[in-house]
Amino acid sequence: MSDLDKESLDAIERRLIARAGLAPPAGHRDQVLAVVRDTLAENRGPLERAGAGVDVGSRAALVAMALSAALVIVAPWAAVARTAAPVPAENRLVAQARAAGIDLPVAAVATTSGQPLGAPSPAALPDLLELRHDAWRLRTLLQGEL
Amino acid sequence: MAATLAELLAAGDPDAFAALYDRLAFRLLGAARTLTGSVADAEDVVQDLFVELARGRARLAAVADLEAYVFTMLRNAIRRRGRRAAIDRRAVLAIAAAGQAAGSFTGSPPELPDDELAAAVAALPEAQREVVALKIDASLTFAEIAAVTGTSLNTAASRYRYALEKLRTALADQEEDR
Repeated sequence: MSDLDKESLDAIERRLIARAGLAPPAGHRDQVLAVVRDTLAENRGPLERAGAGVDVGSRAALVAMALSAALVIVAPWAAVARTAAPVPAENRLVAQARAAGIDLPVAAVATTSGQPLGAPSPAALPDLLELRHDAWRLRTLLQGEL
Repeated sequence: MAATLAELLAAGDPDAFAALYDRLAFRLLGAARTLTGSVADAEDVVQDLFVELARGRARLAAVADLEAYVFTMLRNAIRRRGRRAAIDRRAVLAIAAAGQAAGSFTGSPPELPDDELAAAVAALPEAQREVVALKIDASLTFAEIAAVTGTSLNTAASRYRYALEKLRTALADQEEDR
């Protein structure tokens, strides 16, 4: 490589270095750590270990078998109970989300409003961050369910 | 003996995750922006990454090189996201085409790179763009890049040099076009 060649490549590298990295935007650190805390709180049980004896497929099959068994045992009793005392229609996931303080209707509106993307006004930023946090918590909850 | 950061992370210590964020966020976000071409996507990817780290924290106790491990996760996450985005893009284009045919589509423009250099980096082949992101934004050595990308040290160094040459050509072309 000629000196001229090397010099021009070094110049490109210097330009790259000058724009390297990206400072975390305001609120990102708090948001990430809040989601991490939620995840840690939701996964306090036995930790997932590399090389565990039951793989993902087998685990899913076990869960399916357990659910089937539960349905067979519980369904007749549930039918009897339903005739005695009506069960609220709200499903378990919605109840869990509400118990976790996630405002479902707001989160749903925020993710399906179809508003064009653009820079939010600074005044709206705290609300948007809160909505985004809610959406993350909801997603974490859903992933735990599936 | 004091516990290492990896051991504290594996134990689920929230302060350890904060320490990891403080140590790597600037580099992770920079690398993610270079790889995705979008600041918003970079923020989401890094958040996803921390959630994934928290979920699979038990594995961290056995990790020898925490930084290489985290950047490998970042690379894999972005590759998965890229595959999903390609599927989404096809769906969006189909909807956009239908909307334009009906004269009702008012979509927002795609997020464009912020300067000529970013545009040239975005145009690099994926493997070269990865090496640039890992070398420049993540400040990894070629040995670490080789470990992250699953290539040899020589391949990583060659890809970097090819990338610089391509960038030089692209930027020279842009100069001539003016």
